[in-house]
Amino acid sequence: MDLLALRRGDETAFRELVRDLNPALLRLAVVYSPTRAVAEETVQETWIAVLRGIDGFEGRATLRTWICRILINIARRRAASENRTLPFSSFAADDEDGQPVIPPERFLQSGPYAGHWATPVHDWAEIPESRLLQQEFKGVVAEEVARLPPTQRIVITLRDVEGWSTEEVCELLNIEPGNQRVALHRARHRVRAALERYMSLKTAER
Amino acid sequence: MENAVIIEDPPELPDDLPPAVQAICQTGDVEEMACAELVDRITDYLEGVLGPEVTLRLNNHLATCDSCEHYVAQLRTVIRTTGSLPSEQLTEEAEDQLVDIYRQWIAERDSE
Repeated sequence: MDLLALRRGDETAFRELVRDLNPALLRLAVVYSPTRAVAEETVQETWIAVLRGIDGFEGRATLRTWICRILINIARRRAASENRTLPFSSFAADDEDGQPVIPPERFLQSGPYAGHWATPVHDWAEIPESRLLQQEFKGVVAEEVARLPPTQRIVITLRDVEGWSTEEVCELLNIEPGNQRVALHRARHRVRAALERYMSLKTAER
Repeated sequence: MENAVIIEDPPELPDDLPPAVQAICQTGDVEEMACAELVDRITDYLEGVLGPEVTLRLNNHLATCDSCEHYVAQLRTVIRTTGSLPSEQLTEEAEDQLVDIYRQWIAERDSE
């Protein structure tokens, strides 16, 4: 992103930045906001704050990390003033009390093959394409991501939806890479489980 | 049979298991890695942060276990699908509104 163009007043550069970053900002804001309307206000407030601060941006973080951090700060301030609880008030709270990501009964409990699958894992590639409506499939994923606990939701959104690196996510959220991986692990498994339920419905329709 | 070479038999499955169970995980070498351990480590594996020794054990398991192979393929499908979710672009009006704010900011700044 051409920071100089932005400071110079180049509207094309600004439009590009907005198109590039607004979807991610909205996705983040939604997690921190009680309603869609509040999320949109938070995003707009973020852009205003970005403009006010851009001359002081020193480039220590990437521009998008810096902008996302501004959004999170605004969202936190709003939440605090409305007495709402926030994601990341405690990282462990998202851990679902250390529940395993796959129910233990999916594995043999005893015998020489203890710890191995008790029932086969299906090959999704074998399900005829015609049964898999791409839109429906994506819908299941989007819904499950929206149902995740906040920390998991933010991590999977930044990593897998937006394609950020571990380093950038950890820098933005100020968390350790290990914690980030735990959240990502749990998030991906919940989405997988949702797709598995959807797939078994689809195969039962045969 | 004092000179007989002792070859360890693969562990026997209990008789009461349905035959289908045997076909699920055929790594045979249950010391290598259990499917449950593979599940626990899979994100570290996909993230490339597992040590070489565990990576080797995991690869060995994957090479012989269809269920785990399918399971990893499922996770890759999850990652791919999550990465292809449509992003919501601003409406033209909302974008123009932001550009107005930008214009105003430039004007105010330049008049200072």
